Amino acid sequence: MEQRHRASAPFPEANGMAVAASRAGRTSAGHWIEKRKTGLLFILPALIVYAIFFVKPFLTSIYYSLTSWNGFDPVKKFVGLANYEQLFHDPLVWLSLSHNLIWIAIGTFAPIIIGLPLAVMLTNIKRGRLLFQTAYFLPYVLSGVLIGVIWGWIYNPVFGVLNHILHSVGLGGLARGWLGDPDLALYAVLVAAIWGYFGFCVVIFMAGLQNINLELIEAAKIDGANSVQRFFYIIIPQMRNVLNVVIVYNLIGGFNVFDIIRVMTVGGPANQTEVIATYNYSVSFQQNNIGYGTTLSMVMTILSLVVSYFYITLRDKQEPGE
Amino acid sequence: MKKPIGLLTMIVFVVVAAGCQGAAKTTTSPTSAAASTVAATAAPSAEPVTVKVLDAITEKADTDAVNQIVQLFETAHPDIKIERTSVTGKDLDAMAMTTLSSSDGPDIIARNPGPGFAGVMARAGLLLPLDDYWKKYNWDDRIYPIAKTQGTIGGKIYGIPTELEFIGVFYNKTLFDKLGLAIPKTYQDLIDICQKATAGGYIPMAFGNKDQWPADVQYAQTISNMIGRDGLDNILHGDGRWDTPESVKAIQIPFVDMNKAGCYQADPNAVSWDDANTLFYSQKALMVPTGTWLIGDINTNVKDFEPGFFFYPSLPGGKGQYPAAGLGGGYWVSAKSQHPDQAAAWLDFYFSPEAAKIWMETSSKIQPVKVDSSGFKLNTLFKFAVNALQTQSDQMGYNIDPLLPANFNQLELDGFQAVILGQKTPEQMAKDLEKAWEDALAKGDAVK
Repeated sequence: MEQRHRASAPFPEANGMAVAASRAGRTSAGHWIEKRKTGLLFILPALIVYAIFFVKPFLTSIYYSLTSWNGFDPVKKFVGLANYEQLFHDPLVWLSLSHNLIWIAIGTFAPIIIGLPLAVMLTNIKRGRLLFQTAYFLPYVLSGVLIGVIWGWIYNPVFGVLNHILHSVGLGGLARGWLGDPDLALYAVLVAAIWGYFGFCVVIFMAGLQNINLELIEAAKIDGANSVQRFFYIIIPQMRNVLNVVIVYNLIGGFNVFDIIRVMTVGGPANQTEVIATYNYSVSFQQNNIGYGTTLSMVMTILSLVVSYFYITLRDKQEPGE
Repeated sequence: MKKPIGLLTMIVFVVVAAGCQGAAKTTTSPTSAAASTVAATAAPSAEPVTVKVLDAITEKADTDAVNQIVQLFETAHPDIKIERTSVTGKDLDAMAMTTLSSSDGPDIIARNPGPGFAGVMARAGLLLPLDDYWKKYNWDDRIYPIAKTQGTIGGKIYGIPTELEFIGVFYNKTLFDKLGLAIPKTYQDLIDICQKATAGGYIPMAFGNKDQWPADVQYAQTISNMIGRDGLDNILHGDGRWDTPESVKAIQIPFVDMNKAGCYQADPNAVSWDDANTLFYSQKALMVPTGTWLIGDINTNVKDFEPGFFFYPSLPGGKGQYPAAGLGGGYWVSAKSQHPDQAAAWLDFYFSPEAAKIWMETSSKIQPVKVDSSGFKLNTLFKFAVNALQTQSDQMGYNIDPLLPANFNQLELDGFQAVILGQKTPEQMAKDLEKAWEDALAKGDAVK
């Protein structure tokens, strides 16, 4: 220590304190890196990939959103915040967002409401468990495009099986052009999406149920709790972490939904199933307006981040001990 | 902590070094590269030049036709190889900007002519002007002037539109005879057919608009009949407007009146174009209003009845029968093409009478090439359509979509569905079309 002080003696008095502070800062930063060098080395390859495939495109997208560009011209005209101003006055943006909110509200919780009880039931059976598990999971393996095609046939007003079934059971009055009905089309597509996704939730929840403390369930049984009470007061609280992960995953997916809507309705009829992603596609690739399309992408990204942040914060507030 | 750090550093270095080695192994070493270069310059290369073509030819009949043309071309030009990549039209729209901007993009790309399609690419400098090749190959002698006009952007020729198409109504002749129906000459005749067809237990007209664009085709036909070619020219190049009473009627008739009259199956917005065609092929529907691009499919799918074709009848208050016609696609050479001469040679063959014959006989498609088809082996339906075109050629309207900017087309896609649903009136839709047109003119996306 004394030797280090003598080494600093030759520096001029007037700059002594600033230099000392600067040296202290550099020493502190260098010390910080030195302490974490192993960890930094481990994450460096992933950081590089992340920087190339996420950070750079993200920053580039922010730049594009400040331009008027058709995707072809070599010159991008800088327009500042004009795209963002246009976004606030664009009725289709608000309509699309409202559809995204409906999609999130129903699409987030419906697969959970269907998947969790099924997972609990499957966990309690031995015979046929694998068969049912496979059957429930199979739709998840299909692509969104294929699900859209299959359900497009089911909903077909002329030869679709849904209308045939309704007619044959005396409910012909309910038969309609499901994907052409402006009030029902979005929900019809949601049903198809939920069908394609709930199996994934079943499998995830079944894995989570393996960690349930069985002693608590036994104790609840002894105390006289019925199966419904055990489900709500013992199982769901212990499945909290798994539920949180699935909910966040679904929330983000709700803002990004695209393929199944594109295949089933192209955002129609008359924009009644338009969501931000399909509107973005039409603006960017059909109307050659990359600048405005990128602005819409920014909206999707920010909303996904904000909603996820609020949910995680809320969850953390409710679990102060964790 | 030093030992693990040192070890990790070594591991990272080895991994990176291995990667570099791997990359090096995929390229020739300097000495062998020099040797191969010397060898290449010492003797003429036997390798043919590959011309990459990105198109949207996915239907079987069309694929058969173009494969025959490729084979003939490569036999005649052993120094050129054609490498085609086919995607759907929608995928091509999404890919066009990135693929043309790429250094490894196609030499030739297929896109519709018009300001919203090839026009955007040309204005961005992504397409190669073909004026010199046009003179070299004397294309004026064999390619229709309308193709040259639509391939010209900003005074330069950038491409050659393909496939002359026109719009009308395909009908089931067998069922028409059974029900005692005749080809309609007026709008009222058409409504009468709709009523008789419904009474006979059939869907009069299969109109599937879930994909949105079939309504655009209908509008192109009705606006052509209402205002004729002169009226359309006046809008596109003069001081005409899209929100006139005639234009309102052109929207009212197909999307409100005919829908209410029961001319279509229920819920047109819920039925896809393919499913509507299936209704026609399966004889559940008597008619399907669409363009001549469907002839190949009809030939493939219709075996149990005799199909026919008629032009849309005149409409009340309209100019008469003006079948909407136009050029449905086009081939354009990339400005970044490394082989423009070879690309032009391919275009020259593609638009030759020999290739036109293959298109007509194999796929029932008409290229904009002057050719005497009297000795060709054409199927009955196509022959009829070609004859109908020849008799009507002086009085045709426009298939307007390729001629209009992207925002106008998008409004048509969404707006006509809203009119069918009753969410928007024809008057409001006509006003919206006029506004979209004016916005595009102001932005430079359309030019009068």
